[in-house]
Amino acid sequence: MPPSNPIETGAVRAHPRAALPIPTSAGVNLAVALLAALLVVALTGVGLSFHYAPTATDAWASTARLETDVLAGALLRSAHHAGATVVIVLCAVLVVHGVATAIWRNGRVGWLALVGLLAVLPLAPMTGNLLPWDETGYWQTQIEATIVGGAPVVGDTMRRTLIGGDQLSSVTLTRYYAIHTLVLPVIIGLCAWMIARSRRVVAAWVTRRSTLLLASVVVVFIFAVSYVFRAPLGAPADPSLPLDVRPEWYFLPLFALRKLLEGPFEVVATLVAPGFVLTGLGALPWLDAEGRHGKRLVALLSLGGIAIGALTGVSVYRDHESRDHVAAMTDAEAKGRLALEYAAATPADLSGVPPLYRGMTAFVREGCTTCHASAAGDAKEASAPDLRAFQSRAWLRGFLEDPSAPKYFGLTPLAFSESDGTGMPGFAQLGGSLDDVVEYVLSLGDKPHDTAGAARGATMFAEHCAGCHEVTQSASVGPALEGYGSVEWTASVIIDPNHELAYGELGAAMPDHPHIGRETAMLMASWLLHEGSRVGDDPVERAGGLHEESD
Amino acid sequence: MFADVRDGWSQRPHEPIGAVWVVRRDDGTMQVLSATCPHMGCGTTSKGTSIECPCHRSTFTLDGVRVPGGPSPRDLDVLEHVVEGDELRIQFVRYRAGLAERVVQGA
Repeated sequence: MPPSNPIETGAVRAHPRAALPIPTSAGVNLAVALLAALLVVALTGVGLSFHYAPTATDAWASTARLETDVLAGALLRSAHHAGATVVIVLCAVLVVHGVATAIWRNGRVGWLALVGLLAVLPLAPMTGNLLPWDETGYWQTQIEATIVGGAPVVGDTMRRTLIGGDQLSSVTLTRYYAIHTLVLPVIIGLCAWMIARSRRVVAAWVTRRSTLLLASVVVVFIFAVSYVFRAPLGAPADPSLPLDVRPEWYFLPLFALRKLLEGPFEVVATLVAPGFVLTGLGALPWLDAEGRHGKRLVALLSLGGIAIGALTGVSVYRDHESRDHVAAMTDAEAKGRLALEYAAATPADLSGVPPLYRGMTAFVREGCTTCHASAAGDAKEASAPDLRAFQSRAWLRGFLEDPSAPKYFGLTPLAFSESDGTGMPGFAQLGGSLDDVVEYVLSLGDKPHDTAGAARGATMFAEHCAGCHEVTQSASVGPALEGYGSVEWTASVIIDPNHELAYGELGAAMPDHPHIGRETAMLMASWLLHEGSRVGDDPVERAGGLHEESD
Repeated sequence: MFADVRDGWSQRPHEPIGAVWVVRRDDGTMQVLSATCPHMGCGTTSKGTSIECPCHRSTFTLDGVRVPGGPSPRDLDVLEHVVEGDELRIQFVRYRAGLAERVVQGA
């Protein structure tokens, strides 16, 4: 332990930093706000990491579980998300303030750390957005990887190194998770520490009560924002279902710039322009050491701000005007909501995707939505039964009343034709007792039903329906009804609608699907029946639904 | 498109791996095009008589030929295929995006 030496103490006092102007209170306050926001992001990030698994089969499901099952999990995600946005905004404000006040006069290191932070920050959401492994993150990353791959000479190697192979995979996720939760926090933390040190934030913290208040305001603000704006979670990533994605909002100016500079000049938008701006900012302490050009720099920055604002505006306006894009985004949001609902109803299997959601995507992928309306949306060219309330009481009742209505067999060869003697006639004349037949039909598929009603319905069935329908596995005029409306029965119809036990020759309007396999057909059937059962059980909704559909 | 997928340390059978356009010409022959835009790798969408990329508005004819005005550096990539009975088997190759020439990804 060296003796207390007056010369040494004097030397400390004479340290160049002591002679520097004390940072303005705005400079300190902004840094305090930034640190508070960073702290929220860091702590919520730790919280999220307790629940997250970075593999392609677990990432989406573990994120969905945060939304559906984990106490305050949704708020944690949203606060992390909103906090990140606040950090980026604050960082930009700090840069503008720094240029306006030539803050590098307090020490170049603090300024360089701030510019470094501005350069590194965008990497956090870039890596973070992939982690939920939802459609948006998947396709954003796909495009970002292509941009990296477009760099001259080393591009392809960089791309492969970044995503860990040729294609996005679990390796990519693990890599991005490591970058997002280990590498970036260290770099960002280091920058934040240097910024805080250069502005003597700790001293301010101790001496000024207002800084503590400010920090609290920032924290409360982030949580308030995150309560209103929930972090989005799209549907699970699926390489076979492309999505019309946009980059995060702070990349929109570059996105718009790239649209302007098509062809070989694109690299200007992706690499040159950002590189030029960052280098310029970093060099300011040397270009304008004394802060003499403050006004000119602010003017330059304002011009840049106007340009960025205009480019963002153009980009947002174009998307807003594009009906295709708006429709695609609405669809994607709806799919995301459904996927979450399905995850809550039935947990994901080993594929990592909720089985009901897999059923829906198979339905869409096989082109069923061309002819059938379903919970996946309206039919593109309706020419087959509307399956939205498939096998619900309301659906069955309406079917029995008039099978040849457009929403049932009306648009198909199965519509009733007296002259040809084909199709099924309606039984509206049976009136209220049709409800008993409905209960009986429900009992055929082993679904919840009213036993007494079903017994009465069985008698009605024998009287009115048995002429054409067998309730065994043998061919009859109409489909054999053993197991009618069950998952197995529905899957069989999907695989082979013109089977002699199903709709026979008249069912040939629908293509058969032997290639999809029984498992996929069962998934599709389960999904259709799940969606149908959601509409059917509430009597009010039943009446409303029926009314609406008959319009 | 489905194929067995090698995902890092695991392999899963019959997974969706990507999308293609299958165009049946009037004479009954077929052409298979990659649905990935050669510009930035976005997924293209069908506009009835054309194929369009929603990201930067590259447009292609149903033969996969570029309609002038879009940023795509080349036409849509044609994929080899064979018809075996009822099945269409496609040689699914991914090409690097952003290049005028066709370079197999990772080659």
